[in-house]
Amino acid sequence: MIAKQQNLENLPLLTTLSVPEMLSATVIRSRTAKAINHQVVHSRLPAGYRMITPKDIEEEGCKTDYSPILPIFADEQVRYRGEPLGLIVGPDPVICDELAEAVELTYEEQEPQFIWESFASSQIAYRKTFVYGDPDEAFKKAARVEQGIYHNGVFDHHYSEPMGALATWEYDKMVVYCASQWPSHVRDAVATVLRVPAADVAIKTTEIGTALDGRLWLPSQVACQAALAARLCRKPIKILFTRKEDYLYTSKQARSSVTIKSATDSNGRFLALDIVMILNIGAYNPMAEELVNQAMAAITGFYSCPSIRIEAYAVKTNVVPLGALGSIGSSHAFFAIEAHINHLAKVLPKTPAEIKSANILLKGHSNFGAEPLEAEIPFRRITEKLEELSDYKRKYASYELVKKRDPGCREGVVRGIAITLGYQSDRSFFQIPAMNSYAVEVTLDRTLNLTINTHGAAGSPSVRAMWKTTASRFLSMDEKDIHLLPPVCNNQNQCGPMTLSRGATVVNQLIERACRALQKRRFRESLPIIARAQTRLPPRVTWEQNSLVGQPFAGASWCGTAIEIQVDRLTGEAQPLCVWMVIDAGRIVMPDRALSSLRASILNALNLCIGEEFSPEKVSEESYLYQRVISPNLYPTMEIEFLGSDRATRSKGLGELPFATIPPAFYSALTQAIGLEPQQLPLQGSDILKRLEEE
Amino acid sequence: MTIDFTLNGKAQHVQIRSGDRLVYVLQKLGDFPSLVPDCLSGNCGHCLVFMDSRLIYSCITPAFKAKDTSIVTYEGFSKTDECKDIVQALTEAAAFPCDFCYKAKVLMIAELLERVPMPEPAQILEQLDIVSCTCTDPVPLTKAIALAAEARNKRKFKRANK
Amino acid sequence: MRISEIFYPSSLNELLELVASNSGIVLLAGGTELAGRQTSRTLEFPEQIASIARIPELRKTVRSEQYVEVGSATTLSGLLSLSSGALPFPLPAAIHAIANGAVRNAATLGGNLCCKWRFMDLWPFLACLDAQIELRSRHASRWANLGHLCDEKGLPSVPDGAILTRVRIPVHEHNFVFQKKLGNSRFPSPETASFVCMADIDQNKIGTFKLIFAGENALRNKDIETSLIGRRIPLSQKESQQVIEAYSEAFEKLTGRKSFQLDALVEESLSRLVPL
Repeated sequence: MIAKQQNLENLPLLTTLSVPEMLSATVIRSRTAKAINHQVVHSRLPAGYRMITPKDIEEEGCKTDYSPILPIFADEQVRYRGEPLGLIVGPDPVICDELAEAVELTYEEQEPQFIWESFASSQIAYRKTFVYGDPDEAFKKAARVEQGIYHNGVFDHHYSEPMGALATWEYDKMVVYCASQWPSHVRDAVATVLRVPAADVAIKTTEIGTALDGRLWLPSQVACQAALAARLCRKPIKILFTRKEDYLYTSKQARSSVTIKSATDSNGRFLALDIVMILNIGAYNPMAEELVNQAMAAITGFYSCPSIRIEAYAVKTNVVPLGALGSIGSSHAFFAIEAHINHLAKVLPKTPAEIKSANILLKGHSNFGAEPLEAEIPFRRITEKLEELSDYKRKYASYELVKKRDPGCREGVVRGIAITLGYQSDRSFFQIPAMNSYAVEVTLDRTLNLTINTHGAAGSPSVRAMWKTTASRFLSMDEKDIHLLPPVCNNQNQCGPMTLSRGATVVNQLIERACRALQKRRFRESLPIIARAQTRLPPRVTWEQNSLVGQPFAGASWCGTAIEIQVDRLTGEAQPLCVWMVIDAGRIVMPDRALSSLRASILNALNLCIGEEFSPEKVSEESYLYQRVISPNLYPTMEIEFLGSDRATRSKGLGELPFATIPPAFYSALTQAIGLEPQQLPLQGSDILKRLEEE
Repeated sequence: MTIDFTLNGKAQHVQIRSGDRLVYVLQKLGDFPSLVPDCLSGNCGHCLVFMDSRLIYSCITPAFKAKDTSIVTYEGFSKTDECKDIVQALTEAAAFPCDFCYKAKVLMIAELLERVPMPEPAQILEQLDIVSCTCTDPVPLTKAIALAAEARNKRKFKRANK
Repeated sequence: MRISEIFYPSSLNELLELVASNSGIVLLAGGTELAGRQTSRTLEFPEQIASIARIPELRKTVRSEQYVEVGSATTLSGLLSLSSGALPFPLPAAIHAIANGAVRNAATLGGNLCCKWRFMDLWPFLACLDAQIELRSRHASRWANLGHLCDEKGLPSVPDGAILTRVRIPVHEHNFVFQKKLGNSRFPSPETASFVCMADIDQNKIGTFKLIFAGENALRNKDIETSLIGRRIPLSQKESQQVIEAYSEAFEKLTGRKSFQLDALVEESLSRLVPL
């Protein structure tokens, strides 16, 4: 049974994919946040429909979890409301839904644990502490000690398509179609639960669309559910969440509470930082360790700090798993440090730009005892350009003056402007080599067409266009003669995670290498010619006892973002007026596409700032209807410039930059506009007005 | 219950239930990849159809409302000159809606141009709200709409002149 | 799925007969509220539904010098397509702020006014304009002020057995209008509300004054409105403060909570009452 597909250039959409004799499956979900001894009962199912529970799966000889930290179905314990308990399978998805709603669930309910900022040791999923230098001594000598707690809320992400998977057979293999950023993880998970060799499973990636790093590990869970059901029913099975189900029960960005205590000298230079970082990861998160490691490495931004103490926790609660979205933890860190610098600017008093300038990490220096920085961070170039584009200095001074005259924002214009600096690096803490492996194969055939096989790596249409353009330029070929094979991950290859743009950049570099190798052989060997390039990236950085080993800024692209916002003083709603970004990301292969992609990402990042905080503890079906996205009427003007692209030889990723820099910049501009430090994002208009009133 | 309506010009006589959403009923009547019951709340636009020449969300339209109406999906619209103007304009402007929302955005543009042959930027932005997918950079999308408007008016003007 | 009985009356008389003989029958024109709030794959409707979108008498528009009379099944897009100037300011802007174009193509004026669980966007505007609604039953017909139609819970309500057939909107434009919509989710959320203040200023005095704040509840206080009539503008700080406090108290009495947004809006509208 081969699934109907669109042409090779476009990836299929899971939503419209179908195969003959396919059945649908709906997930039976728990209706309570914490329970034990759960049972699923259905009185009578119509002909052609069946219920599958973990017991049926075990009787078939399969597993119901990929690992203790990635269950496919709830085991003895229910850990969050909506946790999968079983499946209803049948020909009509509408009837499957109705039957799933009607099942009777019995369990012994327990008191759920929602509190996470103060937590029990049993809630700790992962913990890391690190000390470098002598923070205690530095605090004694400091001219000023300041402390703040910064909160980042839970966000849904507006994916292009709800979560799902289609499991079927093609010849002798189990083939799973799903929109996953990490197909080799899916393959390994499916092989594990089916207890078959990985060679018997192939993963075909469907169009992911806007993924925002929410499709890293959860698709593996859904793929396993579909594969297990297909095995039991001996028929192809498709699971496709409804949009509401996706909104309520798929993983969101983790919540964070970061306490920063800083010791500074009289010029605002950091002498020490004492940081406690708590990440609420929900019921579980297979990437909790990476999340914590990345957040820790990013907590100083690119500011210098000689002494640091960090305590970081990934804490479990009885809510939906909260995932690795948002640069896998880095965005929490950037938000906190930038918010703290804002705070320092108020109390010292200096401008945020002065404090940042005083603390910028210089070439030859490092934090955490890591390898020294090999090149200057282009801080000055980026900042100067941003200030020029946005007229930052004049506006900042004007808005400060307005605020002094009208502290309660009772009249006149309420505006703020801020600049934030950030970076995106391709560092990873993944210790297992498979997590850092990518491979590419290019084939020039006798018809002089080039096919590129990325072994499962699938980027967005813009990324795929970039890969083709790269090959076209290297080989001086017309793009219409270059074709990307559909991404299939099978046993012969590994494919590391395609996070926001790290994987895309690595694959692009591999395409360059493979094309270079092919070019050398092109006019000397007969066709077809095949060239391969692969990389097994060692972990760039590791936390050791007393230092961070490696180069945390490896492959970094740098970015400055300025945002000007206006707050409606009647409703408290903050509206972004203009966004400027200056980016140094090396060589930009397709500048127009990159600009387009960045502008779309800016709008997505702004949704994180103005959107309603999703409360997984109080999740209700109605809250699905009340989602907020930035209205097109309120789209800001966006200006983006690339620095030094024409002189650079190497491309670097830039997809995460809006998500790393826009929330902190928005927050900083908001604090200037309203003259308060709310210490959290997002904020509703009514919250802002209330705080102004209380002030 | 049974209702009659036309779908892409063809008469339909269809058995429905009172609680059926129009999008599910239409899906079963043929091969309509443009019709995706996604958000089920009149938001994403993946189910847009013309009903009696008005663009509606078929996911929040009860199927029984289709009785005695004329419905046109993207597949029916795609054969028209208006659609060709829009597709051409999207390519020229380098606007790349993703595969999930491409067809919805084409219908959205078509409805705007039918109502306002030369839309102002504010009217264009208001119209973009119909399809919630944030995949597309609004700058080239706005440019594409302006190009499509121009092409449409040129084509109609030439026809009038003949 | 519950199976509902669906009726398709083809004329107003047929509809009135239907309503008279089937108490509890629910009228569905656009269905954006009834269906839009449901998120399961199938829709649940009351036992009996009358689909009224195509009844011609409910879609007619009549204009005169003093008013524009609109059929209750006129879509919001249909309202916007009336010729420029047909609707009094700021009604067109208020309609544009509702959802988006595709929803407005189906949503109707009657549906917007008759929502049972909250006040929708157009209600406060039309109430400020002193719009009249025609209520008809099989044997009776009367016009009533929109503002009077609430049930004992203070929510919009049409009397049993009657249907809303037409809305008569005075085209008189007040020379002072201030309005603001709160909440920006696509679907009306608990935060969604509309604030409307309209007044006539004549020789630096307040001739008429109307203020409505409507969302899950509707706040209108005619005593406060009356107390402002005849006062000179601009109001003194003391006068403004008294009015703000009065509205704040009234809101707290109605809902049990304070609203900083309402206080800010009332203050803003009073501050904008300046000589023309």
